[in-house]
Amino acid sequence: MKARILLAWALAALCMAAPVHALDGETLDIGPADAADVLTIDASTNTQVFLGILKDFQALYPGMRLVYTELPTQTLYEDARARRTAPDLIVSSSMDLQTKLVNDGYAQPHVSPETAALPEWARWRNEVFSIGGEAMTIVYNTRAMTARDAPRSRQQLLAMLRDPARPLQGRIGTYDVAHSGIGYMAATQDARRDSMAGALWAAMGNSAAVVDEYSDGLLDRIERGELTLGYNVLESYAQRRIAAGAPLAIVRPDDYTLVVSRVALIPRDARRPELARRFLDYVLSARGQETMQRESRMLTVRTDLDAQALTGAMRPVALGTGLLVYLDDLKRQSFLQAWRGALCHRDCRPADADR
Amino acid sequence: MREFSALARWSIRRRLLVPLCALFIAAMLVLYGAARGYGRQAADTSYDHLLQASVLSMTDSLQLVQGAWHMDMPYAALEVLSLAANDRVFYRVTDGAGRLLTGYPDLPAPPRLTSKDHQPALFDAPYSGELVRFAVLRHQIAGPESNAVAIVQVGQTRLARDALASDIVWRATLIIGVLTLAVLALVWVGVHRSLRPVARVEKELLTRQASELRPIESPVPRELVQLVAALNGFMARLSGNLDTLRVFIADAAHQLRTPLAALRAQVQVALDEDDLAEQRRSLVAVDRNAARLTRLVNQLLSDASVNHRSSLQRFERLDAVELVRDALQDVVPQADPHSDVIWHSALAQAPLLGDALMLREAVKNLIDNALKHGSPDQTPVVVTLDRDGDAWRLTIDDQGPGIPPAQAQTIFDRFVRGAGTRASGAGLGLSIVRRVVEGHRGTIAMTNRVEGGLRVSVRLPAA
Repeated sequence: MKARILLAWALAALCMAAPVHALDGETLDIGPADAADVLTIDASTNTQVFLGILKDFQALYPGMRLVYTELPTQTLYEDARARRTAPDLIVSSSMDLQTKLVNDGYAQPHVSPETAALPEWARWRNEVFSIGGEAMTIVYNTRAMTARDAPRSRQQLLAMLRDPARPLQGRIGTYDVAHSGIGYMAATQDARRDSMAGALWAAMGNSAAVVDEYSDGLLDRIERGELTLGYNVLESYAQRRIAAGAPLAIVRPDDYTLVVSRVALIPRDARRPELARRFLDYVLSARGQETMQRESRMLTVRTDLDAQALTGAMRPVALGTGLLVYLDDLKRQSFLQAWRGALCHRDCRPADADR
Repeated sequence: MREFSALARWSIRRRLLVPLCALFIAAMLVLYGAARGYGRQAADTSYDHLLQASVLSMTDSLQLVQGAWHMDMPYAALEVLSLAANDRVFYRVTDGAGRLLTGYPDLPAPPRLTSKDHQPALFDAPYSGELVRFAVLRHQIAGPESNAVAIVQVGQTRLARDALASDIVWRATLIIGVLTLAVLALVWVGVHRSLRPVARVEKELLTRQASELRPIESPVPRELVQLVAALNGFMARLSGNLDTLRVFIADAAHQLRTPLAALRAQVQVALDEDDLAEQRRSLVAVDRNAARLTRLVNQLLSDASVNHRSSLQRFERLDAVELVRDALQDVVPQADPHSDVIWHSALAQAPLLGDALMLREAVKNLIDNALKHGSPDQTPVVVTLDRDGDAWRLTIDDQGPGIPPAQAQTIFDRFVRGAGTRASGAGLGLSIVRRVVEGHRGTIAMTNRVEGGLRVSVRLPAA
């Protein structure tokens, strides 16, 4: 606890040094206070992850003020539907909720050379766009497991879970599907693509898997050695820790590696849609994508610029009406029921899955 | 000249092109309308299958568990609709009582549904600011439960359909447009070609000398044969008339030259004569010849006047009795005072349509003729007017020598005088009479009477 407070102070000091004002930890306000052009962005992405991109954009347009507010995906969705706030751009890791906003007519289209260069899966109706990819990976503690032993695919993970020696008993963690949008998306995509998904959940359940609402929570436990391995962990989060010296390693499953996206849309009642378009074009440009890869460790979505990106086993989740299926209440209920039945036939830890 | 409407002056090319083009454009518009209808129908059919598949796969995933509906929507149920890449998707599942199970609560209600339909019903309705195509199916599970009914409704915006429809329409329109242009070009060429003979005839006529009146020789299509034949006939008549005119002018000049020459000769004689009595005699001859010349000129003028008036045909209602009586009054005082004309008519009135001036001139000429040639010893000339069927008959009988039968026809021609006539005459009188009578659709005949003398009978149709 003490360490956290110290960290917060250190962050605050960092922010003071930079011409950036973090308001109550949720809002970033960059650029001249009296600027005529104010671009408001509401996003689910951590402010510190997005900071590099915002600063680079601000360097291109020094006269513009950027107000960036971090909010949970569900709040972003509900605010947009209720039109409580009118941000100029909404960036969310919840592809399905963003898709639903578009489907229900809460977004406006944007067509530019940058958006046209996006692959088909990365845009829908020219109203919602993937701006960066996140691979769902297996992360393990290198002190607890050697690279040679680490599972390379779901089949190997399943085999390890079923190993009579129980090397992962109580030492595997995954997203809490019931409480995490990204976790739910990853699990539903697994269920859709992989006929063994149910068996994998059941095996994890048998191994008393730990579930956590956040990638960072899982990574904390893996880093501390409480857990050996995490399944469906956001790659960029792990990379940031590895860069900071954490004893972690990443495996992109070679049967398939899910790639979820941060997706952006311009609300229909945005006050300054032209600024949002400018920002969107910047983020999708070569410079923006490069900055995003460097600063946020996300994957580029401009497969036309980087031929190596998203090849092989990488499976980006496509934007489109298919995503609406798992938002359906009945579907969600029956899916969660099946997931819990498989994974939590003993109590999931922490035992709050029914919250 | 009669007034023609502007339409009557339209060129034949225009007459042909305008209705043909109008007809074709109308046909193309009809085709375009049909293509539109077909395009929309074809687009709907293609995408309706997807929508129905979506409804059926949703329906398939419905389960009734202990009186409550459960649905595990297959991913494909909505994914299949993403074949229409940019279209938004809405769905709703309700139970038989209309309670929402899942989906959008405010979707437009479908038209009436029957449980017998195993295919989803289709309809269009506005939703979320757009026209949306819906498929809806009433799903019933046979059982004791009364609420074993679920209604599955899936909708999709029409972007892809409209794009497909307009693509079909556009292609059809392109074909129709090309076809129209091709047909119009063909029509134009066809009309142009079929009118070429007319231009050929026109050119032939334009390049002719004014005096050239021979028939048109250019080959013409069947439709123009009549016209060209009529034109040729007209030119032949014109040519004939010109010839007649030429002969008339030559004759008239000849007729005038002779009395003029005689006049000059007698004037010369009178000038050379010292004896007053002889001089006087010559002057009397001069006077006689001058009178003859005057009559000749008068007759020529009268002939021209009759010609002119008969072409005008300005007829009015007349009384033949009065007409003949007036003519007699005009003629008799001029003639020999001893001569006698006996006028018979039992009629109080004899109405007819005609030109009073011309008719009086004709009657005068006839009576004058009879008095001059048919009244050798002041024997009376008998003029009679009576009815003959639907015509009036005027007969003029004299006691003269009559005419030889060979002359009965030619006597009415210009400058023809009866054989052995002693009195002076230009030979125009009877020609004028005949022209007048024929101009009134009447007839004239000359016959020698059995008891001697000539009878001229004129029939004029009664009014």
